[in-house]
Amino acid sequence: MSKNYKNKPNWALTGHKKPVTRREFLNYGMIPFAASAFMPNWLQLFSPERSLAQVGAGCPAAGSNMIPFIQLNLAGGAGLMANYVPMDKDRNPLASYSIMGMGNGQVPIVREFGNVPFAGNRGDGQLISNILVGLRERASALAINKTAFIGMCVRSRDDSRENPYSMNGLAHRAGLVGSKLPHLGTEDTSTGISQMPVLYSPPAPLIVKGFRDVANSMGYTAALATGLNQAQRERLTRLVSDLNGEQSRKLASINTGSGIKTLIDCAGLKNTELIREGSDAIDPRTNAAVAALWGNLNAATANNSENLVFATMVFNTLNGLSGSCSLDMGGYDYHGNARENGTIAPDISGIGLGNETTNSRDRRVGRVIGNILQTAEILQKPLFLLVTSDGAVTSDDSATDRQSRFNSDRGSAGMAYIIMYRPTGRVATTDFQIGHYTASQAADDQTIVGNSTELATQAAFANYLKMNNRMDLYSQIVTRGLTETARINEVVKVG
Amino acid sequence: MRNLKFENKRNIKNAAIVIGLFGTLSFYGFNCAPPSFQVADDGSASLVLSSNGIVPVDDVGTSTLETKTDLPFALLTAEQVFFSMINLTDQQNFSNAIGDEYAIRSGSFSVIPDLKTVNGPMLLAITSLSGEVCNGLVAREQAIADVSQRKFFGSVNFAQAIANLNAAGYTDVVTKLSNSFLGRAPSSAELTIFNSFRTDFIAAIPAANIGQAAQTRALVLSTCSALLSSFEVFSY
Repeated sequence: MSKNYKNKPNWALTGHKKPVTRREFLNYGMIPFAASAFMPNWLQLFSPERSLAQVGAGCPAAGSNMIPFIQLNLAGGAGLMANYVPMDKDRNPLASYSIMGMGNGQVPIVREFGNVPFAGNRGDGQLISNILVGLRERASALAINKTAFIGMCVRSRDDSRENPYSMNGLAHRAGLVGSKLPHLGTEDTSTGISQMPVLYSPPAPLIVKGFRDVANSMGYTAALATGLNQAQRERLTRLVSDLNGEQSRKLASINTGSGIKTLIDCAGLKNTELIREGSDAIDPRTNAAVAALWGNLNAATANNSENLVFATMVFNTLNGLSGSCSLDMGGYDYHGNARENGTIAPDISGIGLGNETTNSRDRRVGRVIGNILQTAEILQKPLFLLVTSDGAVTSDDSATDRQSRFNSDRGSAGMAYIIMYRPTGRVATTDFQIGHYTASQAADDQTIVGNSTELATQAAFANYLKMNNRMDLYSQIVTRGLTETARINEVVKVG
Repeated sequence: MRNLKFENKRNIKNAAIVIGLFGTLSFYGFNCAPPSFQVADDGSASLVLSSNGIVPVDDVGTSTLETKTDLPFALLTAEQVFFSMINLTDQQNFSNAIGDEYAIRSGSFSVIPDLKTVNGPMLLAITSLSGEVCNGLVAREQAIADVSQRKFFGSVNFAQAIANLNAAGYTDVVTKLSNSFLGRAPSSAELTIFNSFRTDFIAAIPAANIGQAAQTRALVLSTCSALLSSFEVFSY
């Protein structure tokens, strides 16, 4: 009896007919058994370390335990290197910054974020770095004191949308997902900004041109929005959830399928909540402090107001409702404009393309960075912010003019900022700079990141993982490029 | 050939060896063999592989992390979901409204065929899109006066109140939609779910609106949308 039992094939023991088709082999677990040797450890992505509310019995916690990530891209080649002051290999000032718009090597330095050098007083009480001016206008001293900053010296192609410089695909691979919304972007590209992905494209971001684009994601649009009342929409959502639950029952008998079935069931359950909540859950105007910070947002604020769009994206990213956030600001191909301070709008919006000076544009992006940091402070959420551009600028050659006019593109003087906020206090760093500048006033192309935006993005990602205390993920995700341990250690500055 | 001298035989043998070696080497250096000689990776080489700078599709979803799975099912990507809906409802010349809905919703869809990427916004987006696709289908059938010529909604009188669509008529709608969209009749469990939905849906209509013919259309539209956005449609 026992012998006969042993001789019976598994498909017979489990009550199935003899498998013939590929689908049947798969369903009966033979191929899954073979594949199980390669079963990934993905389930951990659904069981974050930190406690999050559950939407239903057996449902994994929603969202991600990764620190919110925002990339702010300044399209056109901004003068980031004329705000943060790049240092040489020994972290000393260069002999001259005469073609970087800051005069000779005696640039007055003002320290911020601990010990990070920015272009300081130009002689009339005004800072040379207008990014720092704008940032200080919006971020409180408390927020700044909890913020760490790293300048990254990296060349990039001028005026190009083809620099591989977007980190959101990497962050997604590490498990950064939103609990209610997908990744958000402002440009209709695969990354949501005017930069190419590095190693992996992220899932298509939701392109946000107005508040309603995000609000629509929390409910139905078109025929279902106009043809059904709210109660009927809720019942439809439950119907879809029930149907999916019934149809995906077949997954439950498969090794990893039960996890997927739970995922689908819980997404359906969550949607019934979303439909009921409506867009209030994602509206930054529901938080008075956030609404005030971003230009006194109110019900009358235009749907496509840059303040409202950015506030919505940042608010939801920091709250973990969306995945990564990719903000693009245009107008940074600004060489040839006057450098000095001009008129600046009271908020982050522009004041007309013809009226803005280089400094006012820098001040505006400083305000955006400041607003992002202050929003994190208000919400008490950690943040990893990457500021990038495509190329940079060069100035009229002057040893004495600390604000000499930018007259052309110069991608060899490229720069990126890594900015990290932690509500419990500033993240410890071992250095304020990755790579360095040379005496020729350019990013040294012999450093690990100096000549490659791809490697620079990977370096930023390594610091992101370090901040998350998840360096164990790095080698699984970054399989090309910056892969050697010694080189990784050289660019990781998070202590 | 049979009377070749020993020397000639040896020459032929040597020639064959040389030709064989050349053949092997040529395979070794080209596509048929993996590269054997690589320079050390100094990290400075470009990682952008395609000529247009776009990360190749193969790189999306072939990471060493969390992509290998034993599941015999996969997720349709945005375009696949869209064209699946279009084909199932026979609307190849789809309206601008359908195209617009796809445009504003496709950002919530997955770009990789991995069921692990299913999330709430994606399911909502799929249902919202199916709603507009079904709206086109319902409009087309509603315009056919001879109900016997309708493919799905022969049992529905769109000019009458929802009470006129009885349980048998509703089951007929569900069965025809299921046969077409899923390639099978609805299971008894699914029929129970739909009948329960019908009851709830009618209960959610304010008393003042219960006699409106538009509610009949709303019920049919919802039923079609739910089936067209169900698991078996967006997976394979």
